[in-house]
Amino acid sequence: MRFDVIIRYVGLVLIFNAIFMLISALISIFNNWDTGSYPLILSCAICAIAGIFPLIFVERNVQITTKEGYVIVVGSWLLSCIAGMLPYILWGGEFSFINAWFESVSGYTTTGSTILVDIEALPAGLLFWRSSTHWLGGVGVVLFSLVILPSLGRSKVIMSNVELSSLAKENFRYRTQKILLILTVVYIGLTILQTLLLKIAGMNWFDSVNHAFSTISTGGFSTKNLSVGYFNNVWIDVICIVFMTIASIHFGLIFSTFIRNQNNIFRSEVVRFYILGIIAMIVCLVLNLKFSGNYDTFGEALRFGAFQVTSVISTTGFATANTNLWPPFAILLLIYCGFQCGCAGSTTGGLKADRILLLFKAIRARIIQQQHPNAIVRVKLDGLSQENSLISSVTLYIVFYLVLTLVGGLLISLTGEDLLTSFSSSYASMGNVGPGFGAVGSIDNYSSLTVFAKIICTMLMLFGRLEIFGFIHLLFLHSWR
Amino acid sequence: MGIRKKIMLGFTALCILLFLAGVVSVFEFERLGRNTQSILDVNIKNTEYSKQMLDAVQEQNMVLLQIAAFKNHSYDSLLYAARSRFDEAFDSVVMLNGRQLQEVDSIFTANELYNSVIDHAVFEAQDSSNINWFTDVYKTTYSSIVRSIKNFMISTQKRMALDTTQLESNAYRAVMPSIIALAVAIMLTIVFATLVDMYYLKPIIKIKKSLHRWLMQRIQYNVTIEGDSEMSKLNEFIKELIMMSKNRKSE
Repeated sequence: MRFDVIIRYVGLVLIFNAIFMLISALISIFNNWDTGSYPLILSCAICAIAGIFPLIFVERNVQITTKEGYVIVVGSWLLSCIAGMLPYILWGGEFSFINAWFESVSGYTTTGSTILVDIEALPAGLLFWRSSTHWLGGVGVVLFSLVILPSLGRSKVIMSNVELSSLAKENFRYRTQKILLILTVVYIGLTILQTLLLKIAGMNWFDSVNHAFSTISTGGFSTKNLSVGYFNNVWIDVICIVFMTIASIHFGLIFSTFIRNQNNIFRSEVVRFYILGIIAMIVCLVLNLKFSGNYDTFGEALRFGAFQVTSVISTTGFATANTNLWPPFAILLLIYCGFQCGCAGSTTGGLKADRILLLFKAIRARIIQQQHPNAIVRVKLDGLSQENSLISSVTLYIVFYLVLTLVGGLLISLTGEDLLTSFSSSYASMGNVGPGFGAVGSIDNYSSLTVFAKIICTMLMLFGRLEIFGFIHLLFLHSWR
Repeated sequence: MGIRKKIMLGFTALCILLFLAGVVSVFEFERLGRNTQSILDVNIKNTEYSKQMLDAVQEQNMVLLQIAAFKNHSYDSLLYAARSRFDEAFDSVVMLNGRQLQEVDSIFTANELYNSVIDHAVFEAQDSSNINWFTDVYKTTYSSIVRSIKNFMISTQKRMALDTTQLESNAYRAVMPSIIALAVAIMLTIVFATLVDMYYLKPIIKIKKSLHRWLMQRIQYNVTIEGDSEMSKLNEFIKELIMMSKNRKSE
């Protein structure tokens, strides 16, 4: 494994971080040199120097191995999280060392959970930086830098193996280089479109950009303490619902739909399963909320119910209602959403609708097989037979995911948190959802958690974001041949 | 980019980081020092002004007693002087970032009431020797203003304790930027050393060993250096030189 090659690509990622820090610093400067300008300028200088340094020595156009690719991706995530802490630590306020780490990891992994009690106390530049970490993290810091940097050859293919789930590549038949390009085009296009629509709906430019960054990356950081609920605007809620749903669908399929390719979202079995699932859950939730007396009218129940379902299932984590006050059925339904989440090939976290659908199909096939022992029962997805190895790996992943969530919940409960808070913060971190229930509810934050619990949450966020195995490989590099 | 430029740039980057760490430290400590001084000054001055206000109120109290006892308005000027001293001290009170606004407001209201009670008694022929008036009206307003000033004093002292705690945290904040810059500089130094070793030192050692083997034992010079750097060019020249030497010998 070549150390110099690794630090060159990790350095490129740092430069991208420095560019966004510079933009955030400019916002602070234009905002009458607010308190965020100095921490952002200093962080930008440090990241830029650290990023440019390896470029001086290491030449470009080098081929990289799979192992190096993995180290570059995971290393870039970790280093970005560390670099992202700098503006927070330097600014001070509520940001202790661990709080800055939590906020940074939550930003890059697009989790969206915060330790801030008073978000509005942050200067404009720092608010923009928070949203930028979502945006950068959403498309994958490494993926993003590799797509627009023309200097790379075969390395693109190797690196995307880490960040795109294997299912995302299975059900979408483009070459990897094109997937990377599509990701960027769709990502930027959706961000611009949502920004414009939010502006028209009544937000100011600053809030529009920040909320668009958070929505398209399915992050969830808001510029307001009350999240999207602050605006109390039906149109803003509707725009967010639509874009949260779009952002949780395979970006390649969205692109195909736009260019009228045959392989589009209307023909995808996974997308059908996902959208029908959302509709079914919204209907159940609305009926539950209305008849349990939480809302007076069906309209209100639909507005808040639909928002929370799409917010949780897309792993965005915006809030317009205090879900802690909702009946147990609604809470359990939202917990299921937090486990399933969106489609592979999007920026959502969680188990992914693709795996859940495949699991259901595998269970069905197993039942048929038991009834007809001599029959050859195949599990098909979008008309294509799926290999047994894929089904086994999906099942293994789901089990491993649940075990990790359980262990995370147990460890958090050791710090004295109640059952609901412990397990909801564990699953919300693992699935990169953001808000959970109890002390970490939709309108609360993670500030009350202990340092140990915060560390556990950040570990779970990283595990979830890098699809568990992507992170675990780093721990066993020595045995990797 | 040549070796000289690369190494120069490497050192320049390290220098910039160390310079940043130094400048930030100096700037932050300067700011911390200024803040500490100004906060302490404000608290000390406010305590002093509180004492002056208390003295002025007590003096007014004494003068009022003298007026009541001797029925002599020649003491009026003393009353005015004490009141003026009170106003002067009150006007000098500093409220840092609007802090202690409530306490200062309370003194202002109590003083207005106290003044009106005294004015009523002294200048509008109210019987200030009446014991009921003294206990029911005067004593209440006097106690009120004294209590307000004492509350302000206690609040100032508490504020001083809070500020000291805050300054501790500020000191931590002040050193943080330089710690970060230093940590990055150390990290870059390690990276720099590794890269210099990887790209320049190791190839030079390899070239030296291989040349030595060729000169001593005529073992074939077989060093490969990838890329288009000055080191690889040096390696190519050495190979050419060895080749030329071989050719001459064979001739």
